[in-house]
Amino acid sequence: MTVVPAPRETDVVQPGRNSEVDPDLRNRMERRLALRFLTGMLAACAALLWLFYGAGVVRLLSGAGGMP
Amino acid sequence: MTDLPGGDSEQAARARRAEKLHRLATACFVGSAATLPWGTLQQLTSGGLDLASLLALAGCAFTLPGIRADRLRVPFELVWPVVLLAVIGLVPTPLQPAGISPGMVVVMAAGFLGAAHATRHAGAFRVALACCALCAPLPPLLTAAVQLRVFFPEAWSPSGMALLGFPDPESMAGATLICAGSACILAARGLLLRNWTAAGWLIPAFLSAAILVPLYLFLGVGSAEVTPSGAAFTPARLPATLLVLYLAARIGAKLAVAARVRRDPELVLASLICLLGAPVAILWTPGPVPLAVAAGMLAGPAISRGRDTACPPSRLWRVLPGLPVALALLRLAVPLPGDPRDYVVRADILVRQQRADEAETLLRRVLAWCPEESRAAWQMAWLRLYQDEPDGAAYWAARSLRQSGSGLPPRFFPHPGPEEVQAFLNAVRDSAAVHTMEGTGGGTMALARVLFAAGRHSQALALLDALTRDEPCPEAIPSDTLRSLVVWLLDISEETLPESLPPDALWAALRTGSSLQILPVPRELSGVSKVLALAARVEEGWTDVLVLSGNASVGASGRWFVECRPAMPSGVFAPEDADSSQDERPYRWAGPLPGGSPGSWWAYHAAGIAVRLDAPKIEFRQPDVHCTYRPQRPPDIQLLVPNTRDENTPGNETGPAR
Repeated sequence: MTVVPAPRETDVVQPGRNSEVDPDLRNRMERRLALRFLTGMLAACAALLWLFYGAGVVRLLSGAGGMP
Repeated sequence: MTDLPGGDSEQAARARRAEKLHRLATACFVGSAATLPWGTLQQLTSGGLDLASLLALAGCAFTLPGIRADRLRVPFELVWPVVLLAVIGLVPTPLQPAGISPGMVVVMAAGFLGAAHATRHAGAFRVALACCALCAPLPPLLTAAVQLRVFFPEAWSPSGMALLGFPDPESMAGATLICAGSACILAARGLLLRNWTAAGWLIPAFLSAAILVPLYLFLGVGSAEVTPSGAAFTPARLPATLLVLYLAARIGAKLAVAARVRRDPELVLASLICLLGAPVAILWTPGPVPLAVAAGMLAGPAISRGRDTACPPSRLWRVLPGLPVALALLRLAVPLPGDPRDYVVRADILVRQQRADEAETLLRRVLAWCPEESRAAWQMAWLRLYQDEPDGAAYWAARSLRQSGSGLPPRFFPHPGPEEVQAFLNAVRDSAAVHTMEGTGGGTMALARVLFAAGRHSQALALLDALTRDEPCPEAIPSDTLRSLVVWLLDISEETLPESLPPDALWAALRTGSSLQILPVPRELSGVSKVLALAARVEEGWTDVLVLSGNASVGASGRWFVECRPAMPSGVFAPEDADSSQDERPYRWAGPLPGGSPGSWWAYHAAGIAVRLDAPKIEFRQPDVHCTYRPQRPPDIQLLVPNTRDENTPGNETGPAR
């Protein structure tokens, strides 16, 4: 008897056989990826601002005034 | 073959029409996104409508029949952030971002949703990306050309860097980064697919860098100019920024999942562009409308998960991006209506919005960059007249007319024509009439000055001759001194003023056009000093000074640049009227200067001109204009006349007045 393993989220796509993905699963994947991307983009913005302004970014985010 | 039934053919015709509209919409969105590198050169009207907005709206219009027939094919998770962003942009709250008009907010939201609905083919986005990539060297090239004075600039950075195509250096850097990044991504995609010719995409990116480096090294553009200000992360704008980043993250995630489902490298590329472009767009804020449309074009394939629709790629995709190129080239060659460099219209709009200070700053920037641009001085004259300062208006009008008559060709706008000069003269005449009716007397000498500057000497002399001579000229004042003072007051040459003009008329002109004070020379010096005249007119950054002893100029005449404005020395120079306000307090000379030798006498003018009256010579000390002395007031003239008044007058004390 051949045992078919339960599909993982990342294995749900099998070209040629399973071109459509369960919408709920796809949405979950999109949300999870979006959260990672959002975190990454915020980190990239913070890193760029830190690169240009150093510790002055803290003053900016605390609302103490404009950029140094 | 059998004929199709009537209903089917009608349905087929409708489908063909829908497909045609769909193609047109996609082409419009491609053209709109491709305008990004051209910045404000895409402006169509001075009201702010540009080609990107027009194409985006046209695309939306072509999309509407499809939306009405079916529905908006954009998922809710992409719609609500856009709607919320539009609400933030439209409702006047502290969260409303500055610099983005409500119309632009609507176009951005509609452009995004329309592009997301209509664009289902990744190829459309790739064409827009390629157009931007090809134009990557354009923003720095335009900036360099303006620095080298090849083109007339449209704006200046706070530190004085001239710009063309972008209103500030930050957005110029943002557009360069996005376009050069697009070129690099296209090159990387081709090279990964072993298409070695794709390395050619790197040429625009290298060219951008090659232009930027000399711009910073040799043309005086500071790197601080192009660093992001971080305004998007200030507390007021943080909600909108987070919404934009959330939207980008959702589109990027959709593209990444679609790429995994479809095994399509094109979608990986699109996801990468979305994730890299969003932080750049947030920090450097270049071209909001083209970026919103481009984001919508990225969202389209993400929504359809990479499936090509029935709509094949259109030739219009390749034609429409040529429209911004043609418009920009036309703009650079000919000043058309709605030109971003049209500082006259921009200044007028600013004045109508009660932002006269900004209009003045703009005109001063133009004059500083291009002193021969007489039109900017002319607009300054109108601005001063609008601010009810006829003397200032006369100064700028005279300056403009002098530039017109210098023979130098104008840089951007033509010199003022005769009709415009006549219109300005009429306006100054009206202003002078109002002032005369109010009894203030301002404006009459301003009118005379403009008449002289416009070459209408006979009218100007008739005006001077017709002034009310309600007070005879003091006999002690020589007519040569009077003439010199009137010549200085009107900023004309000695030859222009005829000898035939009687002293009473000159005296009336002096009294009308200046704040005139007659003070006695101290008793100890009355036998030594002749009539002494101290005249000062404070302009921006310098003081126009004339010091006359008898009929000879003491080495002080001319323009003295004043770097600092100290406070008026207190206690020594007594106010004539202690009840007058602080700003209007007239000062007069009072004796020895503080710290000076006790035997020295100084005549002291309110503008800070100090003239030493020690016999036998008279020495001038350079002026230092005091803080209390306001520019643009009528010129102050002090006449020190020996033995004209009673020796007990307050100004004739032997010691400093307290």
